[in-house]
Amino acid sequence: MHFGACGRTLGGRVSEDRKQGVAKARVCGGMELLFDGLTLTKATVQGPQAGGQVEMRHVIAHVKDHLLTERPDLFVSGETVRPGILVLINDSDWEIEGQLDYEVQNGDVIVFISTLHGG
Amino acid sequence: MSNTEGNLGAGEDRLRRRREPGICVKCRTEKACAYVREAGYCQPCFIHQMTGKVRTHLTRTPLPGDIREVRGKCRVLLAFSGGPSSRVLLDMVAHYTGEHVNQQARRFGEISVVHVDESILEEDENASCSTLRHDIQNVVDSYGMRLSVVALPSAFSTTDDPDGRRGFEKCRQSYSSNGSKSSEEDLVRQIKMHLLRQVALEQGATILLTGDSATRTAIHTLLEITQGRGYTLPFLVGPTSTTGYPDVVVWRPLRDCLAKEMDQYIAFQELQVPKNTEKKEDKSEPTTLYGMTQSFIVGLDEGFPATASTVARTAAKLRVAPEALESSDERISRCVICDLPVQGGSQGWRDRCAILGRSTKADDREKGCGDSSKDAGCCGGSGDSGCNGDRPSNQGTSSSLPMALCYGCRVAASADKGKKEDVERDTPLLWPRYAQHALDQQTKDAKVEGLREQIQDFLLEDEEDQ
Amino acid sequence: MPPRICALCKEARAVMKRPKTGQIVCRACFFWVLEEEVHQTIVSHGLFHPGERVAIAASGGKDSTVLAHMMKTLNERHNYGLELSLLSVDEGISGYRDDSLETVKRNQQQYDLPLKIVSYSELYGWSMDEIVKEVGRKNNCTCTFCGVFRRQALDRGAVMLDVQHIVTGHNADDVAETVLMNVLRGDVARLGRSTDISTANEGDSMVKRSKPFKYTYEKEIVMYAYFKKLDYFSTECTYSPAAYRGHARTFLKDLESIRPSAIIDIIHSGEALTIREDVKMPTLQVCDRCGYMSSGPLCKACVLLEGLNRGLPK
Repeated sequence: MHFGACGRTLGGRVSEDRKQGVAKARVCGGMELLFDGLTLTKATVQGPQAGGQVEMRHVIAHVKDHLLTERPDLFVSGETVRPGILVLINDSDWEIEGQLDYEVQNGDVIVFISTLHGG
Repeated sequence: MSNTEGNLGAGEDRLRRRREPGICVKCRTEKACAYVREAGYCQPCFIHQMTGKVRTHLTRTPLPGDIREVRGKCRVLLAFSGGPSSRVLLDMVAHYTGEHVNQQARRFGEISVVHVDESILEEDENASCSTLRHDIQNVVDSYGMRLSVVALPSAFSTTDDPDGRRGFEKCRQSYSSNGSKSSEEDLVRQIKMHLLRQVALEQGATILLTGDSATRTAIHTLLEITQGRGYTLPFLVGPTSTTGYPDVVVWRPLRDCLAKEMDQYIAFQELQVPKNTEKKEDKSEPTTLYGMTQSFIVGLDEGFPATASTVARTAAKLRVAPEALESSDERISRCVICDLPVQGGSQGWRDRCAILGRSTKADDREKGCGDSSKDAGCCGGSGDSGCNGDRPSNQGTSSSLPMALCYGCRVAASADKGKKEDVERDTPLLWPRYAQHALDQQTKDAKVEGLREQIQDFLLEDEEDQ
Repeated sequence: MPPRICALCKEARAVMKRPKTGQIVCRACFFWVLEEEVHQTIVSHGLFHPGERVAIAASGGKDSTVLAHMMKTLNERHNYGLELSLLSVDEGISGYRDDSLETVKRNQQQYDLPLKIVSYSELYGWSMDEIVKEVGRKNNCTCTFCGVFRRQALDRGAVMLDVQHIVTGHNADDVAETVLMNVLRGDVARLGRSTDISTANEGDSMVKRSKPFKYTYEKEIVMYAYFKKLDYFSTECTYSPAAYRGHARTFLKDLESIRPSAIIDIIHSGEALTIREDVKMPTLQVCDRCGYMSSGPLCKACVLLEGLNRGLPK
């Protein structure tokens, strides 16, 4: 159940009009392989209601549905990321930013780092 | 019969080699209808091998030292939750140690049964409680044994709050806001054990039998390791608690039998089980350390069928630290919550590997001492400690709380404080009445070497923590 | 949300939450506290003596890269007086080790430390790729043999470098996982010492091994590497996924997500676990050929080597 051959940073920046987050997402720690080699991308994330706020849970769902190319179970667990994947929002640990409830702002940079690989 | 016991592993290997599919591995004539770790048994052989394991435990375990001369008279208390394991235990104990067993083989005197009423934890408290109580009474009556029932919150009873419910609820809240659901579960386990021992003491029983299965033992081994209780692990999950508790010895006669064997035994003997555990089975993701550990062991046991037995057997091979064995020594420091010996130096250990403050050590020490009088009440247990409104609070007492706790109970009491930043850091911890008593006693004995120093160390840590 | 202030300096904005203590800390305090904890670990266990020559086992991965960085930093800051060097093993796994060794070579430049690379093909006449071609890709076997080979390779590299002490990047998560694994496997021989910070002279080896990161959380190592922008390589070995160990790791991470202090609490427990004297320990012999711990006259690695050399695929 390792990240197999995966594990760097996926990040995203939220931009565009205020009501849709455009996040720049980076993947690292070997996780690139889950994303078909993708390391940095810009994503426009829509909340559940058009014009509604976008939270981290929506970003994760978006990443899973649109960016991930294989083994979603190695990235997500329920609606959050698998234990062992670190999430940074603008270079700050998401654990102090409210985790899933964090409201994504335009231009936010979100980084996913896997810790689950050899060292 | 006697040779059914012994080295399970080697025995099983032998059986495996001679196995014929579908035929009982023991009598090798009957059709197998019960499988234990891939070995098939017919019904009589299954009952025989299982009771053999349990009987060996009951008859070979040395009696506690000072009651050896009262062999055949020593009183035994059996903890009966109403669930499958303790149901099997009750049946076996009744059959193999009861009055009809010949005088020479008898080791125990009167055996009585105790049930801890945990209905306060249930959502539909009254509904489940009365049927369960009724069914338990019926089962115990059918063996002609005496049943006592003690309610979980009674550990908190005071003159204002006779059944202890208010105290219990307050205490639970203080645990769940300071820590988490896991801490709360841990507290409930500690209170239960305390109540069981309390009843044993009241009845003059020196042995407490519990129905821990190999599966449960394996879960608990991992759980207690996870909670930092490696030091007291042999007391908690060994075949007996040996000298862990000052008064009562806990025996775990079923710890070599898997949970699956219990169900099989119940089916074969057509036993009535008061507590239907199936309905409690929760399909959702576990959210507590216990739930997580349980699903891990159960899940692993499916792929690697030896896991639970291996862990349980390994736990039986652990040694208690020599200094913890001096339990006859009254000066040994005991945790006020779990009543087991406290490992020396564990706070210092924690401080070394988890630094909590930035200023230099010397600065801290000075500051810590200087402010200690003023800030005495600001630690985890505030001045309003204890759920007992009938006692004036004692600030000095509460500041010594952490030293009175073992590592595991301290972790549970303060675990994950930082999780919810908005919760005040110093939500007062409330204590079961017995723990408050023990604490008062310890504080009275303040002459214990190093106590002052330990209080200072704690104040220091608290200072840094703010 | 109110501004989150660092629990250590009480000034700067916090950027992360420490799993071990639950405190939130700013970037500067995080660097300080992590380095200080490692320093305390080194000092309180008396890991080194002045003038000692110490090799850092470097794989190019996160743990060993942070270890190299930190050993160099602490050695200078606290005047340990150590002569540090990097020691790498080239197992000969293309697409994995060749790339990670490039990282190690860059680290050598960045930290200005001597580097020694010992390769399986040089030591044993076989690279892992060749071995796998010969014996097939049975994950467990591959990893077991590779592990034994690596241990010996590090020892031999240490001798070539003339050092008696190797530090490895094993972190708190690794140590906690080992405690759980030994309990799950019922490995009484290893259980008692699974949490030792140093192992010396084991299996006739003259080289001492230590884990300065024994109490350092994996999360913090990764964060440290990220914030410091350290150059590390993070692809899993092509032959790696050992299912059973993976289960224990997942379990540990799940526990950590419920109670972050669990990892350090498991280590605390592990340090107290002792096997009773009357328990029969599996008798361990020493391999006739290489001197490594073995359950028979020859250790598994030597048996495999013999098989390989005879051209008898196992």
